[in-house]
Amino acid sequence: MRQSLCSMVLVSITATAQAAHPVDGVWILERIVEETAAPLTPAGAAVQQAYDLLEDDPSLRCEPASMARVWGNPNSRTGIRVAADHVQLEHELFDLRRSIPGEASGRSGETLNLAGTAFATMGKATYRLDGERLIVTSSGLAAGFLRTGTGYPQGEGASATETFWREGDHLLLELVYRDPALFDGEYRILHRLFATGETEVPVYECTDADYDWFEQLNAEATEGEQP
Amino acid sequence: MRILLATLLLAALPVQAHHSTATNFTQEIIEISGTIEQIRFQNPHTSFVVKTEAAPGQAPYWLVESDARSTFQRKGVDLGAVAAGSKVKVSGRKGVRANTLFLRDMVLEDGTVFTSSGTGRD
Repeated sequence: MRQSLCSMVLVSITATAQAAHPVDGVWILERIVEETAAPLTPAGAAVQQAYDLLEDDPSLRCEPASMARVWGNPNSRTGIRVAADHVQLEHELFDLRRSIPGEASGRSGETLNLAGTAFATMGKATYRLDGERLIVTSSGLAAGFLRTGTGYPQGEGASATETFWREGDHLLLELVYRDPALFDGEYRILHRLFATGETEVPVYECTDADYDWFEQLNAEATEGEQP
Repeated sequence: MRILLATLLLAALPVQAHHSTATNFTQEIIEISGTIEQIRFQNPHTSFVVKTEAAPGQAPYWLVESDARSTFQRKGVDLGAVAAGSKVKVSGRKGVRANTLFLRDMVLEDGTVFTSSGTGRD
């Protein structure tokens, strides 16, 4: 059992002295409210057809297959903080950290895990505020999978827009994908999240899904029976 | 059946766990009985290896997967309720991989029922 005390080390998402933005907080997915059908082109359908969920899912290696995959994960927290010069997104899943500069800065932010590994499937992002809405635009996404269950693909060079707004005690997130290579139109997912009331996102310490040891266990047990 | 905290949240949401529970496990509910050989409380999936009395030539070990350690902790589930060496009866969704299932409930010898939402009594 690898239940390390390190899991109790917490990463702070607490706000600075700056007034909190309405989308600030720690959130967990409550449900997906709406999702359009993936408008796959023939090329997109071919990628999906070739997908083997038992082998190809990057989640098995603790890697984010896509932004949709990260936001679609149940029971894991995301911390959001709108700071003066950047937005900080902290996904508990896979310990992903996104420090996103403003559009006017001329810079963009990538997605790293706590070990410092960058994930190109999440692209490079900038943000802007539209009233009380937070809008994060990511471009240059590397190929991945929007849905690791169905194998909906994400094409090289796709872009995504995440729009966040508060509705009472909940946070709504509209995620819109544009993928000129694999989609005929936009792919849109509307998420509803609830506030956990926490101020910190715990360290996740993902362990790779390795089934080899288990299969070996049964192989040895049955081989031992051979006369 | 008197289960205090055994409300299972097998929500029908199109959400995904580490390796997409929705597609790695079927809707078929199966039951196994045996002894817990190993427990891994980890993210993204807690797992239990259960050794069953298998027919000759049949694989005796089952991998029972469940929620993330962090999910158990957030719900305040007592992870000490189950231990290696415990005799258990487990039901859950049959996996796509051989000898795997996703935990619905695990009944221990003393009648304690362990689920992803907590422990109760059978």
